[in-house]
Amino acid sequence: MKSRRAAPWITLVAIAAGLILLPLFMPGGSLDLNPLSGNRFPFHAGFIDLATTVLVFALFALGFNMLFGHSGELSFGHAMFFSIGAYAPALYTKGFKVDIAGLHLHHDATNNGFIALVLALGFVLLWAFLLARLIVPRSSGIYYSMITMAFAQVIYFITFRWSELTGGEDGIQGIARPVLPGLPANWLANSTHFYIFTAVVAFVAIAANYWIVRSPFGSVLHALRENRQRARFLGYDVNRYRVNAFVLSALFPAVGGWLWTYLQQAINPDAGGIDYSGRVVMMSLLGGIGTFVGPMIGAFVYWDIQNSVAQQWKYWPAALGAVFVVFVLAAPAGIAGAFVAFQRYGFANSIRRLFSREARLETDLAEELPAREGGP
Amino acid sequence: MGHLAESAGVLHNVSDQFFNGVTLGMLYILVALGLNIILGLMGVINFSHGAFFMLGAYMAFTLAPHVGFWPSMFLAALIIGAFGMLFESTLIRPLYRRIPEYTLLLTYGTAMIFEQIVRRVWGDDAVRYPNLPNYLSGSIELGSFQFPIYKDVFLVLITVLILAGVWLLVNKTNIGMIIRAGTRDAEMVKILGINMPVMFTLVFGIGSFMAGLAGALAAPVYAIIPSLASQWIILTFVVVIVGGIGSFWGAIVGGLIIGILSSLMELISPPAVELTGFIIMGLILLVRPRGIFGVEGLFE
Amino acid sequence: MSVAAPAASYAFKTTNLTRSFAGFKAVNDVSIEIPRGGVRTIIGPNGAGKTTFFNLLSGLLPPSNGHVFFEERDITDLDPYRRARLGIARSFQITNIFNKLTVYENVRLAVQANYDGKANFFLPTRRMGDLHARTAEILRDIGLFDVSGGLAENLSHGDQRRLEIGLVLARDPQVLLLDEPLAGMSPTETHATVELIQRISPGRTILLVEHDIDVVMSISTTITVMQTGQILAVGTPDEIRANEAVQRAYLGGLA
Repeated sequence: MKSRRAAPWITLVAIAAGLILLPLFMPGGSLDLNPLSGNRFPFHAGFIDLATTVLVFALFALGFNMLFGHSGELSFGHAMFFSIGAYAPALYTKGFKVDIAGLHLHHDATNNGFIALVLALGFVLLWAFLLARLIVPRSSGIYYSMITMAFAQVIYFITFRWSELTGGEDGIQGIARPVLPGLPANWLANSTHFYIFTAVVAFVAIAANYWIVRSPFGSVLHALRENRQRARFLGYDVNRYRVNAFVLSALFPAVGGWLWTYLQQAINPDAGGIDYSGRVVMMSLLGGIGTFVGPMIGAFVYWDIQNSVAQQWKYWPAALGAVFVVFVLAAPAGIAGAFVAFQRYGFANSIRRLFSREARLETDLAEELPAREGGP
Repeated sequence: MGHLAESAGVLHNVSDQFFNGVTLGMLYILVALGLNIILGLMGVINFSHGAFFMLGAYMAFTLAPHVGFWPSMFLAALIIGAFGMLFESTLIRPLYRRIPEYTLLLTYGTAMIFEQIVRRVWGDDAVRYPNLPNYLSGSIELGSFQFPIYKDVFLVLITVLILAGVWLLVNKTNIGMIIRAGTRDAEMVKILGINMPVMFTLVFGIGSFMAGLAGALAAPVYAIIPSLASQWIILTFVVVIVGGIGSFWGAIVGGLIIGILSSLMELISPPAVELTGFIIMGLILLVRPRGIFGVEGLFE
Repeated sequence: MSVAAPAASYAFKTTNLTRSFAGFKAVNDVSIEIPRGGVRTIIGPNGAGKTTFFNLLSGLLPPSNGHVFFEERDITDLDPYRRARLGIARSFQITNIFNKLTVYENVRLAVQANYDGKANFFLPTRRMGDLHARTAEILRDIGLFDVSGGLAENLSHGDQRRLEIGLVLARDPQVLLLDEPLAGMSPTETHATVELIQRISPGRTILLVEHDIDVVMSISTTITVMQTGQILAVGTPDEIRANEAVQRAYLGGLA
């Protein structure tokens, strides 16, 4: 293959630059490219919060993509990890009192962002591990997708129905943002500050994800995606890798959920609903499944579309649905895939490929794309 | 005396919930069997199946005042069935050479579109089905127990009839034989000169027909709202997983178990009603990974 | 059981090995010892149960009945990946490689499997000693070093078959099960592959299912003839050629 992968540090510098510039691309920012967005946020906190939202969902999508994009297994329930990752810090920060089976559980409000993160990761780790041990040996393919979708509903209904603990449908409000050591107590109350905080966390998580995906472990995931039977006969304990991939991919939504709770300072059961699971699938699909930057691009485009269309059209989820249909049928390699195509076939030829069956048949981009992760 | 009345009350509650569960179970069976036929025979997962169910309900609601009860049921199912065939031949067919996950993604997207169309046309709020014909709207009384005719008798009878029809279609007709052979060895069937794409479209139509019919049958009993689509599709998945992917009897047993047990849960712990199906699913996965009637290795 | 043979006198031993599919016995009550070393070929008409027998040895299928032993050890219930770790490697009748990965990545993954459980997989590969050197060595061995940057799916059929042998070799296995490695190859490719098999055979046991009777006769140490799920005869190529039952059942016109 002619095009070589960029050196790791170039990718990470590019990511860092993207994190710094991202707010400017949001609706109202000076680099806003979306003609539909208008100037609804004439430079106030709104678009910065939207940029923070993009980062939160970029982490969420990054986790999802580690599973579907890299190891080839479609989890249609990843919002459960986002939800647990959001509720654990929310409950810890806000405190709770519940009686369950004669036990009186009680926790006072505590504001410690670090412990909240540990709790988010801890609970997600536990649930993801137990779930993976249950479903990985017993399912694969679309069966796996259906089962993950169903188990996500368990988390959704628990958060929805256990009002005593979770506040039910209304969720939990008034969650204080954490206090960072050495900074004023309300430093993070400022949108820009919170964006900076999120960007730093996101950078660490993105770098970790990059590391995992490019490690020998990541190669094994690619092997599983391409040919699970072959991997097994080479001596890989396939199910152990599948469990590990599942658990690792759950940790990124957990971090996203942790940030989401603080960004919104409120949380409700929707965070674990099928809509959120679907959204993150869409972001990956939009950006490019199996590519590293794809899900992050997807998160940005998703929120850009959502934010511009949703304000003007009540039935905007239909537009999102249409995006699914169009991308699945015509551009399963997503936006990142389109860039790869431009690079490989030239712009004109890439467009021709979209409309000409012959041009497409020569090489199917969707199928070829994952291969770019390989190479010596 | 008071004690007796109380226990009779409990008995009535249990009986009511049981029969509510049977009603629910019948609808689960129809929807799940439709999904299962498509899944088992074609290896395609249709997330929009729940939307077809919902559309069936709205169709019946819209048609009933104009054409009457019986034609509205039949037409609603037929329209959804035909729509399913159109859907398969335009949107699903290009995906057969890709991994099946892509059909899940596509049909998830279309489900979003269908739900918004329904909101646009019929509004966000629940609509109520017009009155049933007199002979279906009453109740049968046995002692002090009351059984609503439509819900406890008519719906059950219709479901049993449909199930018998599907069973005969799949097991006793040429079409059924071709379909079953085609899923095992599409090449061979093609060599025999049978047009597999047409067969697949037909199968998809039958599956969609059942979802539409279930929706139409549900219309007089449940509130008709756009979110029926997403509520039902996930429960349908659970029924299919519990019963076994691709299994005729699995859909029936799974539908009844989940319908009845989740209704009875109403008496024990109302907040846990929605969780019932998922708990059953978890337990089934532990002891019988492929579901009660599942076939090992069907979807490896 | 009778008195145990000297340690590891055989590579595989099966006792009453049976596998049925919906009542049809593809492998029917096979009890056989396959000695260590040499090229041990299994021949037989289509449907004789050769591939099923391979699948039972390598663990792709669980037997309906009977046991499989590998060097004194009962491996009947062992998962394929554990068998691979014991030194049993196999190729498949239908080429089974990582199509969308590069040739290099294919072999590297196969070599890397040696380190599974021994090295930390989150650290860069340079921690895995001679991973890249070993990969390069195998690539040279199978003659694909020069094309190792391309996708495996773009290789010619013969090269793909050879790549699969490369994957099988990566673990330096004691036993190789090769299922029709020559299927669909051109004469040149066949020649190169036969040479490769002969080159790797010293010190290893190679189990071969093959249809090319000339190749079978020239490279086999022993030949096992299967028919309708059972062993019809075992012997050297000359013995098999002279065996009347085999002639009747299989070789027919050739003899």
